[in-house]
Amino acid sequence: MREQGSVTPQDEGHFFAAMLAAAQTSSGWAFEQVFRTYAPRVRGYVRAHGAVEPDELTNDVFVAVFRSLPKFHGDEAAFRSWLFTIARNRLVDERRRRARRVETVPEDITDSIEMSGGDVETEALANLGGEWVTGLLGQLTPDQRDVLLLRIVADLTIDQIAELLAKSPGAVKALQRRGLVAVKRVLDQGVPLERPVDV
Amino acid sequence: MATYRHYDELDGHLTDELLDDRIVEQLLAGRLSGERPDLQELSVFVTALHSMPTTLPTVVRPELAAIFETGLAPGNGELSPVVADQPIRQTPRSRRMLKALSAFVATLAGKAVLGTATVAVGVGGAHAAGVVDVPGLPDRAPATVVDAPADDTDTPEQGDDRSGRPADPGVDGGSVSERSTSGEPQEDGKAFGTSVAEEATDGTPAEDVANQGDAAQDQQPDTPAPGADIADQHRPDTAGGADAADDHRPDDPPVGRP
Repeated sequence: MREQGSVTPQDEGHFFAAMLAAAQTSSGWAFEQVFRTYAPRVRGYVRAHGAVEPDELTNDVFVAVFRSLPKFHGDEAAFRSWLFTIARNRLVDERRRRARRVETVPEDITDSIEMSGGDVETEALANLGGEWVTGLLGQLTPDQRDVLLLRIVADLTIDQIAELLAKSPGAVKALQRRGLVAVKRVLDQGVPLERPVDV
Repeated sequence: MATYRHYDELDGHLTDELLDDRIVEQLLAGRLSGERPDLQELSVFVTALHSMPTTLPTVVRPELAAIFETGLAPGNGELSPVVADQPIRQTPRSRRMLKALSAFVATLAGKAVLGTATVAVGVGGAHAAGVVDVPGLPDRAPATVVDAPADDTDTPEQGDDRSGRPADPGVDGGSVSERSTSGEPQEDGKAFGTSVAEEATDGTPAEDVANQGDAAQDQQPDTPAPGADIADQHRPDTAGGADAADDHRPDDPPVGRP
């Protein structure tokens, strides 16, 4: 017998199928549920990639996703893969736009955006952890960073990432491994970044 | 790119020694327990990365809020009407009509009609002014048209039928008048007065007709004296409206009524 309150992958699958079906029949609550379930991951993904306005970008992603949702077919894993493909494309677009604008954003602006709303203390701690993590990610090549974020934050499989990045699974595995080793080396050398001791 | 080479290529063999696939999967799944103490810090990093995405965006855009509220519109993948309507701007009807009219005039048939109508208006006007005598046209053709408001049973279509001959200024003058008002000046005031009077055959009350007549008078280009006199005869307010029109009634049947 199952422990009360525990959720199995099958439950999640059924829940997702019901949620997707409701969203595809244009039920507002289902869209909101999809947003609540996946927006934190998308936000974390774009933020870890150094997006200047992660909230704005996350909104962008979900507007695009919801517009195309009626045409989507697949399970939860396929949805996640599709969602992060869109998120990645938007991120690339944003970078191109930023490169064209050549604008300089003061460092503390992103902090003030992150700090707004919610529990201030938790947010502050999360920011410290976020800075540490993003600082380490910044030591990686873009491909390594991409693979690690898609693997850990987006929770995609090697095959899904390979398809998303148009690489072979072997290449993705290699990038993942090298990325982790690179992080380890930086950590071993003593990173001049604040450790997330309290997080 | 050169700065990343150190990790990417030169130490490729070392990465395999440090981390094989099994270890990597354990690390990513958070199941690396005491097996590799040298990877503890890396494990903290992976855990921190796992726990990073915990907060929703603090701002939800109006488009999304609208979707949460009403869902998507019935159309495939369209946003709800409230949102979708915003960027869509309808072309004003007048503009569309003007475009259609321009397209028509641009065609050969359009030019032919416009030319014929212009000639017809000119000849009709000249005839009415007594400059040219055109057989088959009544001496006071415009007056018969002004009679129309007094006869409330007339419709615009009947008015067209009444003067249905192509050369009759009563017909073409009416249809071309709209173009003429925006284009070439009229040859005389009578022709213009005719077209305005035809508009008044839509069953509008006498006062409205009088106002339209005034408006027509305002729009008229400089007219020669004889034309102006005749045009004045057409205006209901100048001669008591219907009473003046009654004076012309005997001329009606031969001109227009089938």
